[in-house]
Amino acid sequence: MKKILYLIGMFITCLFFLCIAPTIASCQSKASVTVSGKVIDEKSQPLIGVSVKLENSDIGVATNSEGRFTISVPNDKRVLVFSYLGYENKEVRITNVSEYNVNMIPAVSTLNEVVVIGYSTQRKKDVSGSVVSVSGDQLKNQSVTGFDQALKGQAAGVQVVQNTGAPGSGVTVRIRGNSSITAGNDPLYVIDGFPVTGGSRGTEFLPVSSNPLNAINPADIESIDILKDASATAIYGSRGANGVVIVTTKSGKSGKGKVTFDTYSGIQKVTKKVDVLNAAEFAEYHKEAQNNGWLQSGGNPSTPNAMRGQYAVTDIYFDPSKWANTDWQDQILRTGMVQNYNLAFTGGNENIRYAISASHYRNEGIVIETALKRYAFKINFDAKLNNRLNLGVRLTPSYSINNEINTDGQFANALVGMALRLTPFVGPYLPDGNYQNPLALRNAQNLGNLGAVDNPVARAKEDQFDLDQSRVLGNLFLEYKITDDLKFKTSIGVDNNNNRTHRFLSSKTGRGGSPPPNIPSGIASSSQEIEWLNENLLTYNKTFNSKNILTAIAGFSTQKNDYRFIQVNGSNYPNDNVQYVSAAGIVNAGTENRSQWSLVSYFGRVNYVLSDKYIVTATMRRDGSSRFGSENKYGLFPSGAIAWRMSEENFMRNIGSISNFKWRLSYGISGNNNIPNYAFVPNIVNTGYVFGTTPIVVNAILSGRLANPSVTWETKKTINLGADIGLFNNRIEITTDFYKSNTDGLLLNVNIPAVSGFGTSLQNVGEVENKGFEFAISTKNLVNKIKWNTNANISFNRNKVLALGGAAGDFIDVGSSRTVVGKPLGLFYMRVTDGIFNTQEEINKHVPQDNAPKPGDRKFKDVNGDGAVNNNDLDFVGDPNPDFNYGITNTISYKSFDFNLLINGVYGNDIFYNYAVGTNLNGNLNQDGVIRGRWRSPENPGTGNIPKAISVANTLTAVPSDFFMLDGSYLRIANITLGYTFPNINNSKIKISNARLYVSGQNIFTFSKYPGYDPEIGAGGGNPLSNGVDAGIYPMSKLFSVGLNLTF
Amino acid sequence: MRSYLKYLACFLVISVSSCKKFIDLLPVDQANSENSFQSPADANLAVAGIYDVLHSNAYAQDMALLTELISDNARIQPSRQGGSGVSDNRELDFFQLTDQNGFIQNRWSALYKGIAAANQLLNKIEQIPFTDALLKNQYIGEARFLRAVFYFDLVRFFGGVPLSLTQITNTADAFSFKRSTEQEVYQAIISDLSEASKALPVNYPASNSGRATQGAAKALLAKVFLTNNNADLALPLLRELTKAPYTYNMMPTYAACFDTDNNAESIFEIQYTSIVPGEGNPYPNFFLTNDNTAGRDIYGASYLGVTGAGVCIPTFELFNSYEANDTRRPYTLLKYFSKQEAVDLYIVYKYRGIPTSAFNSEDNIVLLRYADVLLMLAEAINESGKAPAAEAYDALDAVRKRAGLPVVTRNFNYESFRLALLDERRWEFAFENQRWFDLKRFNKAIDILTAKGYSIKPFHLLYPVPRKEVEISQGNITQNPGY
Repeated sequence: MKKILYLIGMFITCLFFLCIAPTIASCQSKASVTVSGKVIDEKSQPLIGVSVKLENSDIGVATNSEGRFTISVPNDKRVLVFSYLGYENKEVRITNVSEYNVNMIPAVSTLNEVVVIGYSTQRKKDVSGSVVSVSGDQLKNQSVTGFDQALKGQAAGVQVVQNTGAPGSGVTVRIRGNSSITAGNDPLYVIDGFPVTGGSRGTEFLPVSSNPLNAINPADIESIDILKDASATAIYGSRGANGVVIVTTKSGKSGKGKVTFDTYSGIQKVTKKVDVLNAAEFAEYHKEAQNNGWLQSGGNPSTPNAMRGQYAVTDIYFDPSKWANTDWQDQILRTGMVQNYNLAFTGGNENIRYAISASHYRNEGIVIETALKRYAFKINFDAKLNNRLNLGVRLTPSYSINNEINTDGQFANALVGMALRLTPFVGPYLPDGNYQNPLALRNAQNLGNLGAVDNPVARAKEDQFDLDQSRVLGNLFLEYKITDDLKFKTSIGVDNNNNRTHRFLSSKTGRGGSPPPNIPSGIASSSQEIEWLNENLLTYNKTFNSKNILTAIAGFSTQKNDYRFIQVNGSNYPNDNVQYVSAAGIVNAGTENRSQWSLVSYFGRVNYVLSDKYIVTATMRRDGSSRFGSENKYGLFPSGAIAWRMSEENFMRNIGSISNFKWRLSYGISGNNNIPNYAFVPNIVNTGYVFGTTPIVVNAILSGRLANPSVTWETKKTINLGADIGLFNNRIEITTDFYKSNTDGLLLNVNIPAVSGFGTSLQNVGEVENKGFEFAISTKNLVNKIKWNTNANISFNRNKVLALGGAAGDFIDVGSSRTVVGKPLGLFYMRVTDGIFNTQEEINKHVPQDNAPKPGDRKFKDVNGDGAVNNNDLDFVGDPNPDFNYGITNTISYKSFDFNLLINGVYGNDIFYNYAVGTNLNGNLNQDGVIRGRWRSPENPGTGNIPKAISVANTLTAVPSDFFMLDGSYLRIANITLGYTFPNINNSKIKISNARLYVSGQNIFTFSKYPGYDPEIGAGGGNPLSNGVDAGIYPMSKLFSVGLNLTF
Repeated sequence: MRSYLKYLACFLVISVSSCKKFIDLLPVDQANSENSFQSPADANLAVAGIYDVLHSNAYAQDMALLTELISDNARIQPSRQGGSGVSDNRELDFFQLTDQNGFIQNRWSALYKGIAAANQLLNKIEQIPFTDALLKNQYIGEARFLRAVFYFDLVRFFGGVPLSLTQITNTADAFSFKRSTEQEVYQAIISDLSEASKALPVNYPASNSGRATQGAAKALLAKVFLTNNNADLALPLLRELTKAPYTYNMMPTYAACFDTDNNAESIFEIQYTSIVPGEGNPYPNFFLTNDNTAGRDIYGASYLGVTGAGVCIPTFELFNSYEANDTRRPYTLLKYFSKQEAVDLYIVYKYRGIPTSAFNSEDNIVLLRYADVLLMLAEAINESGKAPAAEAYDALDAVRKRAGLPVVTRNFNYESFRLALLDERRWEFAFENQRWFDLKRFNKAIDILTAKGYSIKPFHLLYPVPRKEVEISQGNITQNPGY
């Protein structure tokens, strides 16, 4: 053994002499010179620890605490390279100068930035999957309720759609399209390591879903990392199929304690009103409808009005002095105030770091009597217990109160629908101050046969609809350094989410079509959700030769969720004074429910970087879930990725313009386990029957469904090819991805023969494909005195259904949308219009139509060519899926001013304008302004696609058809902010170290052809089979605000 | 290092072994069929569940459309005939039936839901320990009676249908069913009703009034025999029902049949109460015209239902067909001026409970009553003897006298007596969901309806099997001809 070592030693020594002998020889022939100098940063502060190296040699020093260096180098006009993390490398050629002042400029490159991936972090240049990072700074400029709203237009492949304009309403986030039909398409949100339930959680009594993510204050966010492809998401196994949004909140940094105070105040108004008829136009329209109805029923045109029975026009229509000419939209909309206050403390030393914040947010909605108030705390605390042990605490308690109104839907129960459809003849109040009662007027037929629309102002002011939400998200972790390379982390976290709703229906409001006074009733409910998570993680990090890095993790986690719900319904309240169920005369219904799920997982990842050029990643996760049937309890989700930093290869190194070029290829399998908690159980439904000469209700039971032991998760296989390119020293950075994913095993209610006793069974049978292309570019256009950066992204996604579990040609209809194999999800499937019948001859020549049309009625096409027009003549008339989404952000700063402009948009999607009653031309409801172009006679056909006004029933005017297909493309200026940072604030007497004042506009301009309130009508957060349907929602608002950021 | 690994290994091993239980969760707020059949009380709940199928819209409310609207008794309100949302009703009113008719699909599904519930009870009851053997037999009898009710509807509407007499637990098994022949189905029905009539009691205590009785099983069995052209087998059953131990009797007035639930004439009724929403009778609300105020106009200010559908309005021809002074007519049909139509119409006024909420009122719906037994007796005698006998005339007269009509002159032959019985049944049982079945049983559907201007074709005598059922059966289930 010793001999071998001796031989090796000799060999190396020989090698040494052979190698450096020539160098030494050359050294001796040249003189050496001592070079010294000072290195400073962009603020003229000395930079400590800058590496000063002689190019192509091992000679190097570092700057000292004053930023000074001294190095001895051969005097042959070589180059000194200065490098420092976060700054651009600087090269200085050695000349006869003895003292060098080197200015280091912050690096524009993001390659060394750290990105959060599942369960660990990675340098951006080592990432092999498709990950987008959005920093907290990009979010902080926006005045929004929750961080998910702020993500609009910021990341390629991530589509964010606000569901409604209500304060605190849900937001639908889709990463790379919809892939599931029944199991939900929301991504998994991981907040400080805790996977939480995001998306919208509504109850059947709350038309506006409350958004649990609003409990997180956007100002507390450090960064958001979005995992898009399977290589990145497979580590989340059966929950990663829809992508993962990882939110990291700010933790403390060591150093002098810092206090920041941010506040803004603003006013918001509706983005635009809908055009409806005024009183004069409404009168003319109603008279026309009645007259046409009379004539078509065979009436004589010369019969006086009073003798026309149900087609008579009541007196008020002839007396303009009696018309109130109310603009009902003005009655229910207002200018609302928004305020936000945020106070944060960060600081620490080498053993303890903290970040604590308190915030208060108020949003007064633009619809009267709606508002949101939120109070939130955040405590992030990290402590170094000893050399090996670290402790961390993340705690987020928050409480919010939401005053809501039922605003979504048609006029029967929704405020906005009522305002659009109620006649302008009456106002909200009677002369004596009481509420006007349009439902009673309708029954008394004083205004003719009007539709059953209640007084929306009375509804808003008298009915109560409140939601309280209190949430505590807490996480405690311990990290133990076993060796320098091996760490063990264990954490325990709890998410406690409690909602309480209170609803009261007053005596002064209508019920269905029944006018007030009505008997007051109310509903109260309370839900409590506790989710706890235990994670145990081993992390191994080893760097070999500074160019080969091996990272490996192995983990085990358990998670359980327990949801409880109680509700009580009361009716027969004696009056409106006490509005709680305690006053109810009868407590007539109630329920107590409890539902649980649990998850057990093993996961691991290995990541190897070779020579800083070749990256290989492999991940694997095994999930066992309580939701899966006994035949398929455990799932395995593997993935693999390779990446190649082509720019580091010799053939590319010297191309000056290309500073980075990385190829990424990945393939993986992830799952969607968002299936019902107990789908495999053959449950029993409680029902009742009646027996007895004095009838009493007896309990009865019926089977709910057959046992389903094979029900299991949905599987998504994705292949992703991407490239990250940096040009001109990373002044231009481009990220682009092509992907194709197949989701199969989609849970669908498959038709089964009725002889089983049931009509459907939930089975994993469907298959959907999504493929697309994403392109994001980030440029530093100007970097000197004026700094101008642009970030732009565009994404294309194409969606196709491959299987629906039945014979090909199988389809699923929801409303007027049909999903069929071979086409995208949720296409609109309706009648096809063909203009208006002008004359009876035209009708006779046309194929017979099922409503026995008359001149002035809508003409439909005989789509199936069977010689008749009826409900079988439907065709695909529109696609709610957009052709592409895009976002552009421009940030400009000059001296003390900063300017930010965020534009986002969508192109090519169709919206089903489901306000059919708004153009039903029946004479009984106020109509959209478009009917001014209606058909009046063959000589006066109007715009040619709007039928005549007539108050008879079967005109098919309102039947779903391509007349209601509208273009939903829009370009929106989502945010425009101008800020001014007060210079030299350090010198003032108040100890403010930084102060910035800004004005900001959110959603201030929208360019779109859509006639409804807003083209962002909510991606139908619930059902991907019927997206793009505008059936009436709380309108969107634009907000102007002024804000202040102070740092002490 | 080594000791840490040991701890880790232990931890993992413990975790793995307790893992299985950790992810075995069953719901706590609802029962499942594994643990719901343990005691006689559970069997009682399950039997009540089979009865509850009678409450579903697809059974009760839609029955009027499938047996009255299709016939000459009812039509859709004129102004609604061309409207949207009534295309399925239009198919029934004008004999334009398609295999996608929603009411027919729902009916098929509801009937099989009841059959499956009965099959499950008959299967599971064997594993429940009973101390009272009579009680167990009663439950079995009730399940078989109801299963027969459901199959009788199926075979009369559709012809031969898949015959399932045991519980299906695996969805895959459901796909292999073919349509049995009509006779096979009738055999099953007859077997069920025969067994039921042995197991069911004659009467129940007051608290259980409304359950299937021995008399109900026999009356239904008689009707089954008559429908299946076995009048001889029906006769003895019908005669038994006129004697002890059965105490059925005609009520003194027609109104009295419906004013009180489960009265002396009633044999089997769908039980309703208006106290709890969802357990009430939908008919009073359902039969109204499409006028906003019809409910309040007819039932008074305490009417709390909603606007009627206007899809099952009695025809003028029905009104005019009654003989003069027939007390049944004013009780069944009420004249009402409809603003929508601007003309007088007739509304079904047989179910008079005032709705306390939408489609929710107190009255029961009568499925079998003693008058039916009498008229069936007359029919059975006529069929088996091919001529009416005195007993048959007596039975017919008893029904007519109660209606305030004179007795008939006894000079009918077989054919004319049949027609007289058919008419009498039409007036006696108008809107009790019998007309279509009567027309078919008497083989007069085509003749009578064609004469009244309906475009009925011979293949319309059987409803189309729902398209969905044909398509997913992969050839096992064939469609009825003509559709």
